[in-house]
Amino acid sequence: MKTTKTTLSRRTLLSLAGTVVAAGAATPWRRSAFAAEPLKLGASLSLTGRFSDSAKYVKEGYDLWADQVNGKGGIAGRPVDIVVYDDESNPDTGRVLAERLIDRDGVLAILGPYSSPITDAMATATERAQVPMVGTIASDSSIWSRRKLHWSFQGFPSSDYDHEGFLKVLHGKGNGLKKLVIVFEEAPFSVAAKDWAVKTAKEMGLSVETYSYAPGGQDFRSILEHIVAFGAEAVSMGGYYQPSIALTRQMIERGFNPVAYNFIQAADGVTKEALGANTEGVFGRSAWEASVETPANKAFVAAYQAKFGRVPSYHSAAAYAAGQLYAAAIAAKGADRAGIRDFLASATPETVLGKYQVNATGQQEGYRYVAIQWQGGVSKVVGGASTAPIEWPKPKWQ
Amino acid sequence: MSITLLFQLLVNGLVVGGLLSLVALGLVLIFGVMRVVNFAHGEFITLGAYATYLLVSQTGLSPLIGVPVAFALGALVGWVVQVAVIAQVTSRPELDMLMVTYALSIIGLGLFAQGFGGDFRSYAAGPSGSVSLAGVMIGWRSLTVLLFSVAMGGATLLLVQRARIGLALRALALNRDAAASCGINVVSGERVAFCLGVGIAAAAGSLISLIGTTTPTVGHEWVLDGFVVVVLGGMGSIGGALAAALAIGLVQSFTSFALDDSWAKIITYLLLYATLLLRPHGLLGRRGAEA
Repeated sequence: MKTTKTTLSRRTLLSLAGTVVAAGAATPWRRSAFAAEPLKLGASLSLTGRFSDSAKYVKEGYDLWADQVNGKGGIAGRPVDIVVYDDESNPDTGRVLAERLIDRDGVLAILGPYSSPITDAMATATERAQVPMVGTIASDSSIWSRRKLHWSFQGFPSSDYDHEGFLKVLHGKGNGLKKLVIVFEEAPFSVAAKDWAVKTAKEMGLSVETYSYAPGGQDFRSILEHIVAFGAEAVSMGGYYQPSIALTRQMIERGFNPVAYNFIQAADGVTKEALGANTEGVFGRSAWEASVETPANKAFVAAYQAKFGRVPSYHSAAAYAAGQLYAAAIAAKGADRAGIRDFLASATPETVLGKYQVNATGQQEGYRYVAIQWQGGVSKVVGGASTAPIEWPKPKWQ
Repeated sequence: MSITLLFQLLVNGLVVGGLLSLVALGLVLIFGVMRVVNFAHGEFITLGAYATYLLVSQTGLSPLIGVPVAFALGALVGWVVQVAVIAQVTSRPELDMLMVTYALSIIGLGLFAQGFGGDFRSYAAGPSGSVSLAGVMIGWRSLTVLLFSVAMGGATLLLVQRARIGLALRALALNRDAAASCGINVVSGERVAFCLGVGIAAAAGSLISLIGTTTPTVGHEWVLDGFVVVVLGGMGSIGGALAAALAIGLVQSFTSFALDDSWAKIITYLLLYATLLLRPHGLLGRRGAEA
């Protein structure tokens, strides 16, 4: 039998070698050190639309976290790759994009969107597909109390505790203060916050009246007449920013000067633009502040400032914290959806937002808001572990 | 209820009613003369609000200057829109006109969202504090809104009742063809009505920015109530719109106090329903105007 021996010419060998090298150069490795397949996480973010001004900071938080993780060699040697789509600030679009991330992109897990409504919509998709999701900016706990969610977890302080920081201030400073009014929006998050606050305030020995307004309401003049008639000494507003500014302005015009006044969105920087000198002494609540002095927080703030040239907002901190959770989960349980889910349900890792801990329904119990107070045109963390003095009573409106 | 509280609620209602009257006034003028239901009216209100915000934040000028500036800007934009868009479809069926103004509304909303994003805009500059009259408190900002509303409403009424152009507008509102045959320039008359209506809307937006926050949908939030006022007062009736706006302001003030603001809205729309049933041409509208 004749045997045919095939030999490769030098030209052919060199061509083959060149092809292999070129193929290797064309392969999209994230870092030359990685040989493993990337860990793909998905995110639907409001890059356009009414939430875009805030959601861009969420993306920055995710980007910073991914860059830092990959700079250190990834998680268990695997780089992180975040696939991002634009939900246009629309919950239905967010749900569709969640399905795309899961079914088409095959992501391991979902990094949460901006806002409770979009988180709520996306949770429908993640539950169906059994893919873990951290609700990065989802304060509305009713998402988790209204239905049984096994794969989504609240990664942001619960709105149930919106008034907690202010009540703690009243407890510490309000000797002799007896009458509290809570104004709330007829929306699940605000009603839940009001219920918790009323219960707690009564336990503190306060007399409490509550007044509600319809979503989008801007006219609080009639509610103010009730507040004046009641003789309220402290007022806490648990609604969105726009109605809060309307209430504040109308309170100023009414000439009603409470001893202490809180609106939960007051920490937002645009408060100063809207109220000017009348921010003085106003309390608010914040999910996170750059001034909180923990080593992890300081490192995060420094890294963010180095990358983006400014101090981070709570949106970026919450996004970074979500990344930290996934890093801890994957390091502990591997790139396994069920394992990650179990970790998120039971573990209590530390993140830049504090100690993460959820209850049996997936609602956040570990992260809590801090109280802030506007002093001298600057929003400062007060009460709790903070040593900053509290301005008391609130100066009269100007 | 004490007398002081009664007057306080009265003053509160007048402030809201005054602003509502300006919102409705532009709608009435445009519908009365041109028979156009301007779905883009809310966006012209938003234009005035943003114009004032920019004037205050970029130049440091008082927002009170923003009111006439917004009016002028609104009138100019109104002129452009009337010439380029509205005049081109005047002779078309009503549905075409409705779709055109609706399209303008969507375009306007999109432009504002693109230009300013979704965040709230607000400014602290402007009148501050409040004044007490026999125990009744009224803030300087609210008083400013009320005074501007009264002044502009009164000026518009005077213009329509006494000025030559007002005579032309009333003639066009009564009967377009007859007015044309009497030598009234229909095209000019409609242009003036549209410019005036849009200018007033923008001025209303400027005042809204003084007492609230500005977003791309701020005009939208007011214009729905504006349409209620127009229908309640009588389509095309300026006096009716002014009366209806004040009535709604007072109803909402007292109902909000006695019950809550949800009930205030319910009762407002029940009033509208009752008026449509019992007096379809509105409080001061003309019979046949609703056809």
